[in-house]
Amino acid sequence: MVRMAEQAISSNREDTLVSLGLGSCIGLALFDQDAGVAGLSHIVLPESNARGAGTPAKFADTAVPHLIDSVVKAGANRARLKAVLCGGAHMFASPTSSSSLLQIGDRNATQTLAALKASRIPVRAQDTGGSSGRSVEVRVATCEVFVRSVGQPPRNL
Amino acid sequence: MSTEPLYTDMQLSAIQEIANIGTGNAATALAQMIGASVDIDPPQAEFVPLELASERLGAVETPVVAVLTPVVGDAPASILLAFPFDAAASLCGLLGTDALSDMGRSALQEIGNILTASYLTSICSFTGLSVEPAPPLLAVDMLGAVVDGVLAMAVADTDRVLFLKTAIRIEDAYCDFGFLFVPEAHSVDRLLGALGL
Repeated sequence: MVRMAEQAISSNREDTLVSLGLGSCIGLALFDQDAGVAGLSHIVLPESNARGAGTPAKFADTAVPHLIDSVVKAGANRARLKAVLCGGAHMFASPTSSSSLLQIGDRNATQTLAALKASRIPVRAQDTGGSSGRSVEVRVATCEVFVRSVGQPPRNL
Repeated sequence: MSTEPLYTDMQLSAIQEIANIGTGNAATALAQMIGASVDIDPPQAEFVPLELASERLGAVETPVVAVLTPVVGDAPASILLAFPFDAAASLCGLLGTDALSDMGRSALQEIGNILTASYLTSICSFTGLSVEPAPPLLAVDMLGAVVDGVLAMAVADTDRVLFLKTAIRIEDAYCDFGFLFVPEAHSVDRLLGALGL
């Protein structure tokens, strides 16, 4: 279970890494399928502005390098890493409000993609935006990523 | 992550007392609107580490109808009403509408309006701060998903979030729902400063 601002890494084939109820937050999975190592980060905000030291997984710009280092330490080959990201929804649709609350999801997704690009990690699949919350499951054995939303069948990304 | 208390017990009980008066007024306003008796639990003020925050409110995948009212002014905050599906259905039934219809949705938003406006009026008169509600927004989704953006706004500079939560019950309707007040990062200090604490 990966809660807000946390990350988890596993090389145990039996494990499934899970984040439940992502709204504007991002679930970022990184894996090296050949080495059988996967990691999942639960990102809350786009930019750390130098506040990310204690909780790197909380901010997109610090979460990405932190997750890369962690999966590499667990045995992944950096050159084989691939990413899947989901979340970043607009939970409360409002055509009139310009509250920054409503833009966090988009900014989280954009910043996460930018950080992956800067680290030259290819994105295998992406399911972001929209107005539905998501729960995500990463199966370590197969590096499959399943996403569920309320009232919809699970999707395999 | 630091664990020493950010605020003293006295400061927390002052905040809790404001919330108590606010929810009391809100319950009275709701009772007048729907013509039924409304009960509230005493509000609990609690600092919760971010990673525990969602689950402290309930099972994160519980489907809810959520009404979010952004609070603007001197102490920005969010007020979130979370209705479990059966509570939304029975409350809308009491108002002669269906929770999943457009009419039901606007009825729930209107309830958000009334509760929030009376709650904030108490905060304003107690603290002398100026805060007011923006139009309420509605979402139907998992509890965790509707609350995470609200939490994100409160934790930019800190890893803990202040929750003022209470349960509101409408006895005749078997309706029980959550009322959550989450001040943004600097608003807690402003509220306390206005009280001279």
